[in-house]
Amino acid sequence: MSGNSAAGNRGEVRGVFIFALLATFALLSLIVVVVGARSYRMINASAEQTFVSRTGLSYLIGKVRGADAAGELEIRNENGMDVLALGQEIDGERYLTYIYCDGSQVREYFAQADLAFSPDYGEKIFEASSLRIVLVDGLLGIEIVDAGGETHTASLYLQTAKEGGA
Amino acid sequence: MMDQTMLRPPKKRGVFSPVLIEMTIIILFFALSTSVVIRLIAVASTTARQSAYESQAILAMESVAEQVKANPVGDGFCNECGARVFSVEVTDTLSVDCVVTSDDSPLQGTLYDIELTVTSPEGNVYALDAARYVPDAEEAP
Repeated sequence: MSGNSAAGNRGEVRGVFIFALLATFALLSLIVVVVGARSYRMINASAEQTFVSRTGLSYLIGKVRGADAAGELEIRNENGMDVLALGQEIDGERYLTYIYCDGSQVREYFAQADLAFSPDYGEKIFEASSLRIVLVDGLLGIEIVDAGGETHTASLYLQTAKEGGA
Repeated sequence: MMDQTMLRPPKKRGVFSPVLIEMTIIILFFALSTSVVIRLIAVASTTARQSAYESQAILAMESVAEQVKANPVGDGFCNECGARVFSVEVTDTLSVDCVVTSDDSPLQGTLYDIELTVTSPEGNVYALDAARYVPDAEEAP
């Protein structure tokens, strides 16, 4: 009788041990998944910020550099929005590229210069909650507030500022 | 009355059951793969942080370079070597060190050499060089 009881106890201990191993396995799996998910979220947020600060600002800087010619750059205020108007001439016709932020996205609108500016037709460039553009002594300042509220700034010296570039 | 089965020694049961061995192997394999995954996550996280810092540093250096190009003389204060040295603090962890030297040797103008560096908290140094030529006619009031 006592032999049977000892064997039963041993079986129970083994069962508990196997259950403990399985529980450890499940717990560790959960921890790894949670840590991985948190890290992924962090990397994603960081990539998003980098996209706005690096890609977005670089795009705007590139656009301004391309239009850095006498009389081709203008900062307007349309409906309370800072609008950067970059001019260019194609086949004798004058066109303007408008860059502005509608409160949720930075947009670009390309149209003939004699057409009225319409913010509804702009193509989306990237997400941002505000865009401020200032020009002081030939130095163009661009300030973007991204969707997360982070502010990114860049400055750009206009080569043609003294020739009436802006 | 003793039969054949009674004479046989009692059969010993193994100390480790097959299920236990299987579980142990699974746990060991899991531990091994977890250590690899955790290391990968840590490396990815560090790389993302460094990349964000690098991008911010380059943008900050470009902005400072443009600001110096707009006004290369600045406050006009130079050290004994004739260089204008200053630092622009962008964030708590990001500061752009700038050295501006002027070269009067080109005819009819001055060449300003702008050297910018950022040292990351990890000790990495990022550098950017820029230059601006200012004709004498432009500098004259």
